[in-house]
Amino acid sequence: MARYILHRLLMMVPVLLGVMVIVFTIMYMTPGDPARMILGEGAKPEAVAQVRDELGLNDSYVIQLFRYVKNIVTRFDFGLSYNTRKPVISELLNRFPTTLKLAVLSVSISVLLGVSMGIISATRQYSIFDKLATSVALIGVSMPTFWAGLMYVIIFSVFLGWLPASGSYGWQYWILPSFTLGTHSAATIMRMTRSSMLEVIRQDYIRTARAKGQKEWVVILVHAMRNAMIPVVTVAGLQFGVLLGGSILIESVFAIPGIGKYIIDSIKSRDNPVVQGGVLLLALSFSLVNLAVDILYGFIDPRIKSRFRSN
Amino acid sequence: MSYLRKILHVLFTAAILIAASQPVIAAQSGTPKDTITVASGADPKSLDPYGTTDSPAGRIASQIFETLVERDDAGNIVPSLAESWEVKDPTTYVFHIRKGVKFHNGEELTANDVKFSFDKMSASPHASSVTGTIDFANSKAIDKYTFEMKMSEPFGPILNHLCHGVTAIVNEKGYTESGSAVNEKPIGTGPYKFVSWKTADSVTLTKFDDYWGEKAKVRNLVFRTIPEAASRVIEVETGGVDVALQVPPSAVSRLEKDKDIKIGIQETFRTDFLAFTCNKAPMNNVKLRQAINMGIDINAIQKVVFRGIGMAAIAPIGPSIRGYNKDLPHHEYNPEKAKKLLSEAGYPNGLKLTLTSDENQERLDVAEMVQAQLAEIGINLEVITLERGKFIDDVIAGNLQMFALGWTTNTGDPDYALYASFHTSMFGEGGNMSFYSNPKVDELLTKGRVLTDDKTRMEAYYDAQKIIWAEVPCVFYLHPQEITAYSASLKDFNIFPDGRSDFERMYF
Repeated sequence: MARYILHRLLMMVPVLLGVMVIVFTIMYMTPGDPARMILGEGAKPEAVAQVRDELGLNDSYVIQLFRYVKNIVTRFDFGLSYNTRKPVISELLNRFPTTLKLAVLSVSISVLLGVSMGIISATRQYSIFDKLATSVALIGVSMPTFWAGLMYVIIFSVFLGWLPASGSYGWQYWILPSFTLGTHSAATIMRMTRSSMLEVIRQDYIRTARAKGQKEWVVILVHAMRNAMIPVVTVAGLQFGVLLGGSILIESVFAIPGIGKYIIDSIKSRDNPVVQGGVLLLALSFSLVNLAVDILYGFIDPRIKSRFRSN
Repeated sequence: MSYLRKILHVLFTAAILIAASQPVIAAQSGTPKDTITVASGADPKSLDPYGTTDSPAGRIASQIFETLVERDDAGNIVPSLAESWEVKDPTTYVFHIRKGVKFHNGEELTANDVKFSFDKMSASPHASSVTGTIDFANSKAIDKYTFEMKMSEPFGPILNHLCHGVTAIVNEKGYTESGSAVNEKPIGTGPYKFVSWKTADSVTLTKFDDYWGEKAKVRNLVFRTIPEAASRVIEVETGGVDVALQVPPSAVSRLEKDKDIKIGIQETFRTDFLAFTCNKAPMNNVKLRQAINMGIDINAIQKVVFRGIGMAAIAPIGPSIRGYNKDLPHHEYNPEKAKKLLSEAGYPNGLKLTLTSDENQERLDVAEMVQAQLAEIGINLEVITLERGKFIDDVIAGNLQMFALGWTTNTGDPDYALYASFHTSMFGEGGNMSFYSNPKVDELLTKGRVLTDDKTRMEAYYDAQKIIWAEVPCVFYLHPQEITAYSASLKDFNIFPDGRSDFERMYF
């Protein structure tokens, strides 16, 4: 297992190097002069030239790329943000924990809601609950999170006054944003759990378990659920990975200082070091989540674990 | 199965109980108000006064820092850190520094701090569009409280420029000690001093007890970053913040019904326009530009796109800027006459043109209306949207026929708006993005720039506006107004056209 993990971690190195070069090249080739974006369109040409010079933008592509990669590899230095002149790494690390927290909370809510509703729907197929849950899930998937977020704010903050509308100053501030994101992805997880469970509970070993006289909840939660979880874990893992990239709309609506809006704003303002560092961080976290999901497969299905050993 | 149902039931009940037991908002409004909380749309880029000219930073920095002179409510230049000044000759200004002014670190303000600050300005690319022709090398401290500013050549608007936040005075010792963290540890002389900055979340300031002027009435001042306009509005409605900046026009009618909220509508230094690239065919044809101008109903645009907020523009600068020519009439909107003009311009059967914009939704809405209006006079207008970086590149290179843009006269002086935008020497990158050239306008703008007599300067700008108005290098469509929603319990709220507010005067 340890060897497998090490192997996967080593495999990430070329992936990250590739991401580094590709993102750098894309930002280099994108039209729009970062120096002018920093100073605004009213800036004097001399000032723009001064900034271009300070940022090293007059050097050739190869020199800029080499300097960028060298600084990261040798000194773990991602450079300074063009806009704020603060180290990119500290700018990103200031925001990443917030994004991580939101992602963990949202995925927990979506798994809790999605799996439990999915199981009930599958075991009570075509019942009122099933139809209701499937319809709610459909609505959940169809509602844009941006709009749903504003609606929740109007209901829970404006009308009822129960929860604060925006910010991130205490646990109650996290309820609405994580609920908005969580319910949205809960719908997908619910549908996935339902179809996966429906497949599993029709299998022979479930009939055998029932024939042994096993209680129904043991049959469902112990025998069936474990085998139905592989696709669910895949979907939840993917959603978690996506959420680690931040959710620009939710961050905007709830004024959460996360990474998503920051990277998008940096792309618009040509803050290249932030974009490059940010995308690298996302690639790294996505790779780690994928690895975690693969390891989790092993715990759910021992047959997969045995394959780790053979690797 | 009943187990599952029970678990779900318990979880659901618990969630409701927890939520209901948190009277979050009630608790906030119950405590005595010693904090003004302001919701702004963006985080400041830097709190180093020489590190940026962006408006969220300027708004906060103007509470922490002060300049040598400032503008009063009527736009006149009045003393601030300089108690008085003399203009010895058009290139020599002597400032007498106010005595007994303390910085937030306890140091006393001296002319050496002013000299140090001027040196920092001279090295800042952000300050270069504001500092004009200041001769930094020869500007010096004469004694502890006297600073002499030299100009390399006369520059009429300089005192207005010295009100801009990028010319703020910093403490030499404090600034040097902060080193590379200077943008996070601002030390000024203003009524509020810096406490903390939570990235992308909030900046907290507190009252400076040793302030030389009228001390702040409310102890704390917090600027929260709430990017989404709808969320800023909701926060002010629920009492989460006391002031919501940049409120969308669509929210005004709803907020006006709320007796706990007041709406402030403030003029800005901004003008929005559709510019023509005047040095290339077909836009070098004055009659064609005039025909287009006559075929666009800017009053309809102001009513529909901006919901009546903002002033339908007449000329390149609005009434909030000194030197505004109030005698110029609105351009006539007359599609029939416009068709005739178009015919005289050599296009009896109309023509096909392109209008380019960045992704700003309001500009795209304007473009769409203009497209429909120009179709009536026989112009087939294609609207092209470009990502902002590429858009600005194309504007500067003069690659476009018509484009939608805006301009903010940061210093409130007509020189800032007109010289860069319409002087021949400023083509493209310099700021004259419509590549407009007229020797008479050049002469008038130069006169306004080099003379120091205010009356003669303003006359020059009056005349320059008249020519620009007639030759239509741009269709000026709006002088936008800024909408602010604030708590009715907040007294003496104000906001100036440059976006600053006197928070120290406000109280609950």
